[in-house]
Amino acid sequence: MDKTLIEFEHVTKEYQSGERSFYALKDANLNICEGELVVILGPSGAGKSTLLNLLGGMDTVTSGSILFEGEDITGYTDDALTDYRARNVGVVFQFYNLIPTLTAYENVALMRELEEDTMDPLEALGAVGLSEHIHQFPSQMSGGEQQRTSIARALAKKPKLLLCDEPTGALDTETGREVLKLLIWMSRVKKRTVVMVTHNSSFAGIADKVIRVRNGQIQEIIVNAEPKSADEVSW
Amino acid sequence: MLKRKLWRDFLKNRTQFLSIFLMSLLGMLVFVGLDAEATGLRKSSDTYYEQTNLADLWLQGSLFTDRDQDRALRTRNVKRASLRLTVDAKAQMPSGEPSMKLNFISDQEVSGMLLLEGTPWQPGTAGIWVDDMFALRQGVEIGDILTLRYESVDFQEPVRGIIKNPEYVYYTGDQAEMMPDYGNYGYGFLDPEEFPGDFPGYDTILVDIQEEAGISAVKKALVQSFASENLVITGRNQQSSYQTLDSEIEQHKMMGLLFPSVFLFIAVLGIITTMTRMTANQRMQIGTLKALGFTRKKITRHYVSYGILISVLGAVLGSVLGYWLIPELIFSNFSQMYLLPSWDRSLSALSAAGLVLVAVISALVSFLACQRQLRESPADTLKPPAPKHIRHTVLEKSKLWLRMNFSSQWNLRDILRNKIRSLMGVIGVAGCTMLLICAFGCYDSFRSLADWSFEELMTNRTKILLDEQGGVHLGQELADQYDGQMIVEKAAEFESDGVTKTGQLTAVDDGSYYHFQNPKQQEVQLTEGGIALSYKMAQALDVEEGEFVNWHPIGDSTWHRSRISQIYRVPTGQGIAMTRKTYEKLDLSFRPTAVLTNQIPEAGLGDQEGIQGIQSLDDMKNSMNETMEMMYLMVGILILAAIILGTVVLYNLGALSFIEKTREIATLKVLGFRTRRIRGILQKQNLWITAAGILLGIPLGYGLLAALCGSISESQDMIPYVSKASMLLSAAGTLLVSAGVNFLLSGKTKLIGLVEALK
Repeated sequence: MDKTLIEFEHVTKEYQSGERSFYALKDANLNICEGELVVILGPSGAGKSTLLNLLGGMDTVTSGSILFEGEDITGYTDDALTDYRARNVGVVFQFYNLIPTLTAYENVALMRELEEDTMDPLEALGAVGLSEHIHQFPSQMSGGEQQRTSIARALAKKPKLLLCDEPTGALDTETGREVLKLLIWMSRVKKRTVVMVTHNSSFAGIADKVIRVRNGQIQEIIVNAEPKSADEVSW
Repeated sequence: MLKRKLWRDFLKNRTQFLSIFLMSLLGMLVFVGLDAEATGLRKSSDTYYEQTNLADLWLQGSLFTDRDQDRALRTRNVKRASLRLTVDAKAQMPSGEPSMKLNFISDQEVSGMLLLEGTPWQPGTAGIWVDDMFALRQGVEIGDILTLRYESVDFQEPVRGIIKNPEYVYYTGDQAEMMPDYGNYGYGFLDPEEFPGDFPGYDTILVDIQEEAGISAVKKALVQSFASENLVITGRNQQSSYQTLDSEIEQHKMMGLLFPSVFLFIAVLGIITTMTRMTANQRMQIGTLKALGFTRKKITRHYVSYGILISVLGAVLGSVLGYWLIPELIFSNFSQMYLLPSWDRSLSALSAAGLVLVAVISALVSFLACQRQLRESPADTLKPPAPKHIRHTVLEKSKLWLRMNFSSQWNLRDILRNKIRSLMGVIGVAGCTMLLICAFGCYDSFRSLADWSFEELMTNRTKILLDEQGGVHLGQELADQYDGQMIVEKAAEFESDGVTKTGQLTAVDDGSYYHFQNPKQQEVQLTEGGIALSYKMAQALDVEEGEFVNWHPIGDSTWHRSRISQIYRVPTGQGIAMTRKTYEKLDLSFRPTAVLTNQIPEAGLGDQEGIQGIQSLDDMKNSMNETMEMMYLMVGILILAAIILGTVVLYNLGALSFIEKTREIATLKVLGFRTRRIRGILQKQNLWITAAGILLGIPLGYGLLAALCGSISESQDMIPYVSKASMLLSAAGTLLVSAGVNFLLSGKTKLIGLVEALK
């Protein structure tokens, strides 16, 4: 496939809890290419979120290195990591994490304060099918609308890497399917690299690459030759 | 966009932010207001003193002539010198015989007049220039002929001018009067030619020194050139008019620091609790912003701007309001008390510094408050916070704990786990009680001052004042006739360790009208042989009982060195006191200046030769109680401040703890607790906090009152006194405020939606 966007080399994350310590991630090796749609699968507590946090520069490794476009980001300072996130990473959370005191439009427009080269908020909201109700506050929107707003927020930033943490976890099947379609569209049409964390193994079908984690270790990495569409997924 | 978030967060947390806003507003209102007033007063008076060349030094002790004026002028660093003779006279007015101080002056180079109406005073011109308050009160106009009586001699003078004089910014009729009674005690200026009878000579040389010269150097030089043992030189700080206003200004400056700090302290506590809670509640949002790539600096700046913006907004508005309001209020009252030609407000650098300080402190506090959420990595911040590590307190292991009922246990835990919040509550309530105690205490202390002076220290009802013609025989005659007690009251100079003060010398003959009290306010008898020094004079000279003080009566050059055998307290006329025997042992002749009696003197006695006047102590007491307007204003302001403080702090805390406890309250409701029961639990905590605050507030209030009393002028002794009724009233007032706030808040318990709260 294309160029490698991100690469994990022997990445270990160890948590200290009182006198006990445990490995959230142990000796993980993987690589993600540009434009790929990657699904990280595993039961809760397997280390999926740790993997995602490390990818997004939201947490630091205990040992090993993470290369982004060939550059090791593990040694980055806090500020450098913040810059890295601001420039390259978009995040979609399970519970949307919108700023409750800002409207849908304003939540997306917030990205302008980080980057100059952002998409017009109206365009981003239009792309996720939210041209109406853009002046509503999160509390006035349904879960699906909120999640679409958060995708629009990520989209507006034009990130190279879009990280999604259980993006359909709080949504019903139909709405979830819509969101899934949007993420596939982000990858296929907008050519963004999308990494999605889920415990729902039926999502494996839509991915270019599936990474299975269990007990902090990567069990297998499967490459799908022919990924399915969102409509073919059932859960 | 973050700005919009800011404004909407303000709206959402309006109660808390409003209280921060109000506290910083009130703090700066008082701070800037008093600064504008005190600095303005300082400037207005300085301008007035400069315009009229208020004397720097006063030379007294003998009679002076033109040659002495020349001698003074020839002294190094003396810029100007004028001569003056001041005598007490009475004006014959249709309404009565008001007292007037007549000043016969050589020129008006030093301590000159400020002409308000009429023709300027010139040497050699006939007529009198009278003060404006006297003219106003007595209906005197230019061209009127005034009949004056000096030592039984009547003479007439046409009124040529209405004036003010810088040495009469503040004055009382005589030493015993505590409050000015302008208009009933007037003053006037005349040429020596107008003196009824032979002009005896001047009693004062007024000296204006070169600006760059030091006072003490000029004083020394003057002593040398006059080479007279009788010479007494006093400076501005020993002149009561100058000194009273001066210490009043200083007192206001101190109040300007004392009171605002209470409000600003509450504002700071408000920022701490509000910002800590808000950032804790917005933990997820902070995590999200971090995950989105917002720098820590940007997020910090966002959260710091809450604290700065709201407190600076309040501070600026408070400053503006204070600048207009406070001087207006005080000046309108003070213009009855101090006679200044102009009343201007003016700001010192202190106000600007205060504003900057508010901004810096609020920034710092908000910065610290939001650090907890910002320190962690974005991944950690996005997780719910680790539950607070809760330990069982020692108390919970005690037997007492087991005996407590559920609501006490619940409240005690809640208080201990929210220490800052509880502390803020206690301090807020204490502040409320403190201000109330201080308010009522001011009233009590002032009230008791009249009782103290005219009921305890002087138990006579009438004071017959003798003039210089009176002397020993008349005094003795009157004492015999009216069963009276003779006393000598005269000005004296005191010295210890280089510190010189002027004050009053009191010598009392046998009798039972003039009483003395020790610093504990217990009645004591004067001991023979030693002298007693007044409490405030002892403070001013920094001496104690058993030490020595040097003194001499003004007009008599012989210095005496006496051991201080007693310290006594007296409201005015600080100085030394002794028995007639001790006085005479020092070779001083006992020439009484007044006779104290309880009998009513026969009509017309006041007009007899040798008698200066007759004072009724009841009248003096009443007139003193009438001049309480300023006190009422002060009490009113303090009570208002106390209510605002108490209400804002308690409402803020109540709302805050209520929001934090919503979940717990909902759980209790689900478990089957009735709303009334829950309300009872919440009110219990409020009651505890209020009670603790009141207990803390009472000594604090007394301390504040003592500080205020201590800061009044050197020549006055005001004893801080809070009556039991005032204490009860303050406690009740605080409870009332607390109950009122409780009432406002209690409705909220009902409104908690169970499903919402427990989601």
